[in-house]
Amino acid sequence: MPNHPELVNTLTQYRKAAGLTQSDLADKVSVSRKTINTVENGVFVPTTILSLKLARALEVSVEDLFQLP
Amino acid sequence: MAKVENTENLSRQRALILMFLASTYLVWQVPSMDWIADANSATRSWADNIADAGQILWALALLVLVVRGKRMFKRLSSSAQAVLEDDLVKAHRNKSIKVGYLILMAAILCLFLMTRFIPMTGSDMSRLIMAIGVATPLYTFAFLELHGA
Repeated sequence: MPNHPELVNTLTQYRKAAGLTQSDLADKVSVSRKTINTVENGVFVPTTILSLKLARALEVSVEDLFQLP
Repeated sequence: MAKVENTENLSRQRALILMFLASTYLVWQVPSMDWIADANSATRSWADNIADAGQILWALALLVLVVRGKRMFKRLSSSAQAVLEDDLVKAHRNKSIKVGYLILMAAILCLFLMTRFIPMTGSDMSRLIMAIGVATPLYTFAFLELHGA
């Protein structure tokens, strides 16, 4: 059950576009694969620090990954 | 990939040890309650033996967690340490403490209502409250780490 259903999350698309698996991305930002999985499924809303790390790892802005409609 | 599997294994082991710790604490505390001792009037009942076994196992599990766990954690690379203490783990820890608090409050209310109908000693009451207060967050954290998010 997503914590914030209104949050639009495009992490999966950007990760796949970068040619990374969940494990690769998890390694890059020093979190577990499960964390990436729960963020992608909208179950876990990442902290500001993790959002910034994800954006930096994928070379996009935080707003590209997460938006409010 | 090996590193990912290793941290996943360690995370699973931590959850299992915490579940074991909660279980042994219950095995120690519940048979030590006065109403069980009253029901077994013999000087040394089966309940005493179970409680003693629970206490020994709890102490051993705590030692394993503190001594071995700390040593293993220090030997890990900084990135593996970060994975084992990442945002999701912190969120699970916060959630388990919140769930533990709510269940403890509900249990105290239930115990308060129960004492109006069933006599209960202060010692039993405090053992039960301690047992629920200790075991619930540990089980919740382990469950979230093993299954949920």
